[in-house]
Amino acid sequence: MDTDYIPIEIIDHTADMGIVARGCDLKSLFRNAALGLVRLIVSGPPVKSDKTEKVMLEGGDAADLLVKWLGEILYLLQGEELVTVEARVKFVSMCILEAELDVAGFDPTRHEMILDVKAVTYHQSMVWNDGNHWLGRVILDL
Amino acid sequence: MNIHLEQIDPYRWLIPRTGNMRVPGIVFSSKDLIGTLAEDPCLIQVANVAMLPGILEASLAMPDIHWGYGFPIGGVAAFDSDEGIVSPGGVGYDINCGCRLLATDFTVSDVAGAVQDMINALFAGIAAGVGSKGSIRLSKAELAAVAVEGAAWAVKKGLGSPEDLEYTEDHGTMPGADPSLLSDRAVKRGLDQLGSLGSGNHFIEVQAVDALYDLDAAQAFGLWEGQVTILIHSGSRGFGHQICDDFLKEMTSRAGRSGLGFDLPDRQLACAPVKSDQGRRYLSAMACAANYAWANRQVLMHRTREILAATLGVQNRPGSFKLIYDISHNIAKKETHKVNGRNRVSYVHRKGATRSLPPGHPSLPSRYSGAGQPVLIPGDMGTESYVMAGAQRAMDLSFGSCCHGAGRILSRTQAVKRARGRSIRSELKLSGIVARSHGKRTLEEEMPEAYKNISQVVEIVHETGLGRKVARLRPLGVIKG
Repeated sequence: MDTDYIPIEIIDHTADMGIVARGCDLKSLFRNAALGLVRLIVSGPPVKSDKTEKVMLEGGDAADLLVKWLGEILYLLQGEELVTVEARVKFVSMCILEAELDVAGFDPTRHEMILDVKAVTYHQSMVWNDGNHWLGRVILDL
Repeated sequence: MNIHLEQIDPYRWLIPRTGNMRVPGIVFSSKDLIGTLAEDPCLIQVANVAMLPGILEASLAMPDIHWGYGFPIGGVAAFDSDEGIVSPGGVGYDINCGCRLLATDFTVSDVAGAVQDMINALFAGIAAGVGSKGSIRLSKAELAAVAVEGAAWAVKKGLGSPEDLEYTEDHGTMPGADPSLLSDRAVKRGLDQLGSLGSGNHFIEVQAVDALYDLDAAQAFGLWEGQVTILIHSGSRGFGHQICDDFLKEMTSRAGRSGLGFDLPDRQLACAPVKSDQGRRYLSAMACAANYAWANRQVLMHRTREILAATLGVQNRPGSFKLIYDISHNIAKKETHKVNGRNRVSYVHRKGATRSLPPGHPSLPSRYSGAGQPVLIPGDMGTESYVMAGAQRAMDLSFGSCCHGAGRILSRTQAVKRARGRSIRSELKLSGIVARSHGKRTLEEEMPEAYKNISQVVEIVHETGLGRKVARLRPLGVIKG
């Protein structure tokens, strides 16, 4: 798995920003979405983790799950000052996710927050398969 | 959904009731601006809001309307207090984002050589930027007190005077706040952000009054030509964002199981009946965030007063920076309005919209009773802001509401692209504006071209009677997060 390249695309939104992440399966989609979000927000993110956080989520469908998942990543960063270094998705279905997040403390002397994301919104949230990949879209409130 | 518009009069367009819409939509705009909305999904959002239960009269779009998430930004909707809903998305994540305007007793020539020093001092002394922590660290008990008391908490701590509360919307305290309803996450995020500005389009701006349109109202507000004013724009920070997020997730789960008995056109419109336990809990938690934001702006104002008094050498002139008014532009309020000739109690959701109370309204400070409520409409950092006065037509047409700013027309990505090869800071300096920002891309993202023409927006407000022009404020310097 290429850990440096994260397939994520930014989409235009007048007041905010949207992202579309891609993966060969649902596990890699959710992983890429998480790491892509972190790389949008933190410049020079840490590469070594301090500890592992377990995450278990339920959602009404895959889009709901994606919003909640990215919301967890965001809360860890903004509420606990923990940057997700790697996201290991153990199990994901249309409505359940289990994962382990390798996280590191945010160090303002070495890392910089370059994007202020208030929240991951439900607006236009979607998870779909285009025949080749799984894709997921969310709009971020800036 | 294709949106069909029918012109009602020179400044209002109707979105007729179709499909699942319970009421029509009404867009306040102009011939010049309405065309720009054709490519913006905000009109679909206006129509979507019109589908929500208990909505009264119409789903409204203020002149600065633009694409939001769920509700449009610049949207106003009132829901019946018995049969209607309350929606976190109709308030926004930044609960009680708003602004406050201070009048100083300085003229432009008094500060002519000092603006750079003023801006440098504010930049150094005010906590701002992405993830910034505030000047005050709260204990959990103190946070609970802030959540209940709002701006009054800060005044009790010596961070302002009781007079400040008189000139704050709702005296800076929304009743009904219950901190016991808050998640641990919201509490954690609120402990260390009080007294921080935030980032993006949050700012503190030093301005000069360069035009007066209504001399009587200007006098009532304490404004005169050539006067230096200070405008502060900030909100409830991570505390408010978390509260909104917590309740949206809860309400979305419920809506996903068809708990409301109808299909939401957009998940971000998740809502709960006002009279439900969930609705009541959201309103109480929202009040906590609203109070936090008022306390935050009170603390920011106090720090601004201290910093500028020291910079200008007027520490012994306590009256030099008087609060004209503080307004909210992301909030839901229980209000009584005339609907079809009858008084109806409703929850008015204003997302990127402000109140505009007319002369004689009982909620106004006595000094403003003759003029009406000051309505503060900030421009972007390179253009003028306006002070307007509330008017009766707003009560007749828009549930006592008005726009909150210029409204974006370019996304942040588009703005940064357009700014490539340019120095926005230098361009502002050439216009006589000193700008400092914490974020590397903030000035590019917030460049003047990213926003509608504020003067056009204000003209629509003035011509429709939602507000009356009182004064124009020219920027001299600004700090942004």
